[in-house]
Amino acid sequence: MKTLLWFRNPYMGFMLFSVLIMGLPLVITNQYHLGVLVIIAIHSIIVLGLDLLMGYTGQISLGHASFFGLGAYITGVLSAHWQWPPLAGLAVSLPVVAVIAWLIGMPTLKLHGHYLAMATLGFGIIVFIIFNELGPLTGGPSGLTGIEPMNIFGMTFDSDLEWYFLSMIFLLAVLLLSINVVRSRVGRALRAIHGSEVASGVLGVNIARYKVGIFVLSAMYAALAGWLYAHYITFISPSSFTFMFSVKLVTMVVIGSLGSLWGAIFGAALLTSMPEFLYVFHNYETLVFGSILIVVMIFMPMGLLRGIEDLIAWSWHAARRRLSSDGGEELS
Amino acid sequence: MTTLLETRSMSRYFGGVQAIHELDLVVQSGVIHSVIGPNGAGKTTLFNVVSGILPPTSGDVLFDGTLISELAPHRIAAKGVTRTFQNLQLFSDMTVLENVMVGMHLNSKGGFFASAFKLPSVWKEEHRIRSVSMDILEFTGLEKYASTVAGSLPFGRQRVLEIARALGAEPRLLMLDEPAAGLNNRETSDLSELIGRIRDRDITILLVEHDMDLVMSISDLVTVIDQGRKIAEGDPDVVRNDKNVLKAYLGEE
Repeated sequence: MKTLLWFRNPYMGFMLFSVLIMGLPLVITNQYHLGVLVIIAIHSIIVLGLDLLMGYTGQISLGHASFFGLGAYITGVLSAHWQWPPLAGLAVSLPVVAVIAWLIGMPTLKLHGHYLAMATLGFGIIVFIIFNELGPLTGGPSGLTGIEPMNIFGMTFDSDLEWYFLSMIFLLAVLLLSINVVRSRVGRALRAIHGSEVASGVLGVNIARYKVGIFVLSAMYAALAGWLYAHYITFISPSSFTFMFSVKLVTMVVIGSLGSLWGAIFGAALLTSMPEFLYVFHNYETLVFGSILIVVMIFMPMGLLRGIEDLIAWSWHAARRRLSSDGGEELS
Repeated sequence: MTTLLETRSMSRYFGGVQAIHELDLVVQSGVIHSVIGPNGAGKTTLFNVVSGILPPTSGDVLFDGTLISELAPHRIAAKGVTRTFQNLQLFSDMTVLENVMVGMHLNSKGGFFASAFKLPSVWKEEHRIRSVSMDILEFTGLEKYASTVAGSLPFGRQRVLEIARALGAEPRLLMLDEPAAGLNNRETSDLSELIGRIRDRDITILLVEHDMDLVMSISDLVTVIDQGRKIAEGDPDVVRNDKNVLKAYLGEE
């Protein structure tokens, strides 16, 4: 499998990506477009965690929308009802979500098979019902209003440009943490578990512990994203955290490229911005997403990013072959 | 010599099938001990039970005097037992070097937090893991394949990589499950020499192998099992001429 060179050294890729991100507002100045980019950054944070879980470790979660929702509602409720500052909301939501994920992961990840997918599916439905039914606290189906805008150490974030930088800094931080994890003893253990559970077991990898660990980490990423989302939109309702959104997050990972952090961001960016391009089809959004997923799975089972890389590599080699056969000379 | 591994009337049944029946096996430390037998004799099942992949139906497995038959594979590995697989179980998407680095899991440190924030201890540890793994690749003759993806290695090299990866765990007992299967003569003789050098590193070897020339030339002790039962044990020369062994392999006269 050929990969383009700069993907080989992820830290180089990270630097280039950071420069690109920081320079992008010079080109994109439209408030609305910046807003879409903020949502892309927030989705990317969730999808990075989901890719660590699915792409690297081979475990499926169908409940990440609810971790996202819990992150948003915990800080939202504390802010709207008791005027807690956003950072205090984050300090509560991260450990709470971590403990919940641990409680779900512990019993299910010890078993062989995709029990995590089933457990998270059920969990997502329960959380959705709680958001709806806990009216006095969550505002019920009509949503929770009055969430304070973002305020970090006295700095307030109001404009879309400020939000662009805030969300991107969090995305870059999460990306850097993820690169570090992937390229470490922990990351190798996760990929080993995906490759062969028996082999990693006899080499001393505590399989259940690593699976639970990465599941908890990915849930915390989602909670962080939820925290950003709640203080960005300042209004949340249960309809943003449905089972369908969990499926959409999984789709972002699969379409982007399983087991590639860049692919995760690519998938999140593509599927988040697509409705903006395809607004004429908005009634058929699910249909369009489904079709894209099918086409990608048939023709590019490794995901779009890998698929495109392979296509470039293939056409490069094809062009070289044609050149060398036309000219009768071997190109070095 | 001291006893390193011991099974005490250990049995493993699959439904009504007796894969291993009341086997008493004693492996002394510092030797190359081979287990041979016809197909279906229970050799791979023995490895699966000792490494914790399957629990025994009855009986005990002791390693270094402590009971290990109730432990999970990673706990048994932590005691110093690791193995290779007859049907290769390499991490085929990872490079050769990374496979060995995973092998070093037990001999290295670094949890989620330290790794995510790349603490200074992780930098140093990562450097050490890499250099020890390179040493192991050199020891096994795989150094020029370090950055090759394991799945695209030639078959013979994949077999050697299974051994290199297991060496990363610095085991006290290394169980090799048919390491010569599918190898040509040249590769087999390289393997034989490698196994000898591993034993010289004070690693006890429990070998399951069908290649009789290999078994007879390197083993200190040979145990023959047939239909889950021990039928003979002794020096290669003794076993070679044993009546029961000939009967098991060649059938009744």
